[in-house]
Amino acid sequence: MKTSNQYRDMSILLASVLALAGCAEKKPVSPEGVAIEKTLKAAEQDARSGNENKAVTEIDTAEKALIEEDKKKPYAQQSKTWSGEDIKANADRDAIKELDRARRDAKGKMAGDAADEVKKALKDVEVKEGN
Amino acid sequence: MSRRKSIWPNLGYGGTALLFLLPMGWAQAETIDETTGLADYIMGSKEHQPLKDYGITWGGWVNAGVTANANNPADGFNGPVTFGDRDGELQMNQLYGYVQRAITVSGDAWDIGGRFDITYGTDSIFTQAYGVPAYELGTGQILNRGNYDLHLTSWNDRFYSLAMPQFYAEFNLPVGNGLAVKAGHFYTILGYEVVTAPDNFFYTHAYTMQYGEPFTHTGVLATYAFDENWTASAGTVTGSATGGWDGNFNTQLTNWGWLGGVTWTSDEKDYSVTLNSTAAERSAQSSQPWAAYSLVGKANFLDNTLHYVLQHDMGFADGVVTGNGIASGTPGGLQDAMWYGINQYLMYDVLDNLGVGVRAEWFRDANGFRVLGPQRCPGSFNYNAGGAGNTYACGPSYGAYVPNGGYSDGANYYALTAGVNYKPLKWIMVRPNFRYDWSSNNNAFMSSTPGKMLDNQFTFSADIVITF
Repeated sequence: MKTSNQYRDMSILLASVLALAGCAEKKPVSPEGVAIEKTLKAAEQDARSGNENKAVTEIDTAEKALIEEDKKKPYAQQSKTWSGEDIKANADRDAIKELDRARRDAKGKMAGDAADEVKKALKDVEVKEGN
Repeated sequence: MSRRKSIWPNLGYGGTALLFLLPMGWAQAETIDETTGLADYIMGSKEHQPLKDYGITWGGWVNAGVTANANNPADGFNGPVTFGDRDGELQMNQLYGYVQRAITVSGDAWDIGGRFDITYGTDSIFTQAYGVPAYELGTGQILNRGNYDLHLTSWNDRFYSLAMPQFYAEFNLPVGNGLAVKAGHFYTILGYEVVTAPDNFFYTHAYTMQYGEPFTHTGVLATYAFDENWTASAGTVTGSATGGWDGNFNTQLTNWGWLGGVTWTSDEKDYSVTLNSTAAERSAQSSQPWAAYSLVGKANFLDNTLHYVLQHDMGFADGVVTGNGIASGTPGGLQDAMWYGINQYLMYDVLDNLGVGVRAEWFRDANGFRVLGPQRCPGSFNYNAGGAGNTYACGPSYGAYVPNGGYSDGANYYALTAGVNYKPLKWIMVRPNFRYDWSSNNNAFMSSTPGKMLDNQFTFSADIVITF
């Protein structure tokens, strides 16, 4: 049998969710994010067409831009993360991880793998910017 | 004490429902590689997050695992190893769900959000707000344990229960780079491993996570990024008779303590170091100190495919009843207790969806204060209205583990774990692991003979996590 405290907790929860829904709004993508996404799309295309050297240059450019963006707009980074939380930090970390691997594969003339990794990084950047 | 032999009843209602849900998405099997979760697979990427445009999202997973223990322990417990704590029984560890609105942290505008997490399964007892023990740990005074989530389900089921490990509001204060403030009940920032199943490499957990750190806090925590490298957190926590650990909302609210720390991260995110700590008076009834810190270093090598983690925890609790205190006859069995440990992890990404890893750890419960037999036993202890104590998960046989009136001897605990982390899809993870545990100065592991204890055990565990 539920106690009155538990009914109270559930009521508070319901009210909280409704309040959050009421104050929410869609967030715009930053100009820096748009530029990084454009560079990554070019890198993916170049990797797919076998132009690994150009892809490496674009990957480097995108990664530097990501780091520069973090300097302009720093965000909190913690040692622990939980599913669904710290979306921006996790997406940024994952993007850089994919770009590191894409650079390795592009240099190793594995253009298809590099393109796939850049595509994943692009998705991560979209998540980061959408947050 | 009876042992469950049938695995299917242990799936519970959530696991059974999942068995019916899975085939619903098979019609869309051509897109399965692109899907991000079971709900995405069944309902589509937009339909399963109907409030995403408003910043409100939900998520969840089901996590089930099984462990085989070479000792074939008579009581069915894998010694002091928690979470996957049962031998030869399929456990639905977590049927987990959350709803949240993540805030935008910036110096430009106010924002408000929050998160609520709820989980049902055999892990729940380890992450409920149990920070008020059944009795004050120094004076022995019987305490009200609180009823935030400890009593959501009855005391009668030994293994399955509900927990609400997070329930907080979050605000962005537009100062500097943006100050994020959580208020409510939230996971601890100490340590490395987490409760949420998808976010760990291994199914099994380190002693430091199980015994050296809190799981949750109730209070307020502010976090600020000074620049791209430095983040600091500071706050205050309450609702606990264990120094601000695992507090609830309705008891011990006059006892407030510190929670906070600092993280450094390199520009390329390859290296990071975090130092977090808690410190408080133990309870509203005792001003004795209770404190702990956790140091975590991470490094990525070989184009971000090799990952190394080093963790060190240390904790203190003064003037508490300990196993060593009782054994040595100190007045009231009281001692100043300490616990500390070192964990190391090395994980390598063989493929994008396949990782291998090892974990080596040492944990010292110096006074016999933290590791008290299978954690489910002391965790389920409470007094009834008539003042009679009972541990609903273990019953009278609990005394077999802990010879000193419910307390273990101080001891060292060691564990070596090796395992694989395989993701056949983005939202399905399978984690088999081998683990060898041994202890010195305390036989912590039961043999196949009831009451006969051993100083080591070898286990094989495997679990699956299906993310919604």
